[in-house]
Amino acid sequence: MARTWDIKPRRSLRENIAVLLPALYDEFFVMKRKVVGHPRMQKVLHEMRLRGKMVRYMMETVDVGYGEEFGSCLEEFKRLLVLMGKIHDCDVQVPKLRGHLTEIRLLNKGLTDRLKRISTQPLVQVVRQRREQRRNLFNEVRGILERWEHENFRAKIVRALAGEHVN
Amino acid sequence: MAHPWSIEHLAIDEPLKACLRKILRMRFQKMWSHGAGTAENSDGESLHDMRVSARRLQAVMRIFKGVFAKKKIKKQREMLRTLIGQLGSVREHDVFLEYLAEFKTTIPTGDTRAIDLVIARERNLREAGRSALVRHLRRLKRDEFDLEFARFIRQAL
Repeated sequence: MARTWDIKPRRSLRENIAVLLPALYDEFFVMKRKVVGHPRMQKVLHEMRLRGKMVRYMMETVDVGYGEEFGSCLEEFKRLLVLMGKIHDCDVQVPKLRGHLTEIRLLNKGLTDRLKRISTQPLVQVVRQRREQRRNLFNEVRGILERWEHENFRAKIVRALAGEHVN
Repeated sequence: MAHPWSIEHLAIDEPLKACLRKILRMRFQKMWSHGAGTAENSDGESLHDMRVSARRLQAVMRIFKGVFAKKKIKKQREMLRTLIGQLGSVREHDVFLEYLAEFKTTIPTGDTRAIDLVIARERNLREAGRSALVRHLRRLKRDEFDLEFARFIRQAL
């Protein structure tokens, strides 16, 4: 993401955030349709998560300057990113586990003594479990993204930015 | 209530550059404060804290890169990217090891050697990654990266 944002150095941070945060959110949410429509496209989901992190980190940095509504938007955003992070963990771990499984099967093939063979059952089980967890997490993420679109979560953020000012 | 990652005493109605000075200083200090713990302890806690702080610093530098002279920020961003990469690769093993340990407790008695082998290999990979990270942290300390970054903030903002 080599994007350069339209920053106004002579203006205040608040004035910049008013433009920047909705733009960061748009950059993130534009990927919603692709992600929701293609549950197995790991790279797309990962990219969306990385863009989401920019929104989250920016919100965390400036939240002292805004009111409660902003805080609740931030909390909601964090919840989504935690779920996306857990999906990413599954996406990283499953190929590793499958690699180990292949290796152990090869090792077992070379052993003439059946008793010395290593049971691959636990690895098969863990791969299955990780895949199921991913499916469930993805459904949760999809539900949140659909809701955000339906409820216009972006407008909620914009309202929070324009709302109560602190400090 | 302020969030744990809030920047204390940040007055966001102040000019952008004044705010950025405060944000970058605080984010860097928080990251750097976990350096010694990351190098000395192998438990992964300090490493995780250092990584999350570094990523927040990186995000601010990336979003506001237009404010800085290209040449001045390039070196700092590269240093940070390398550090984050190394922290991340160790962290990835920690997350996996944590999951495997938890999973192992759920398996009924029987042959768990396959899981033990995965754990052993992940530990070895983690140790190799951690050694590289510790070497990198020592280099950053020796090169006084903290002073250099403070100089960068002073000159760039």
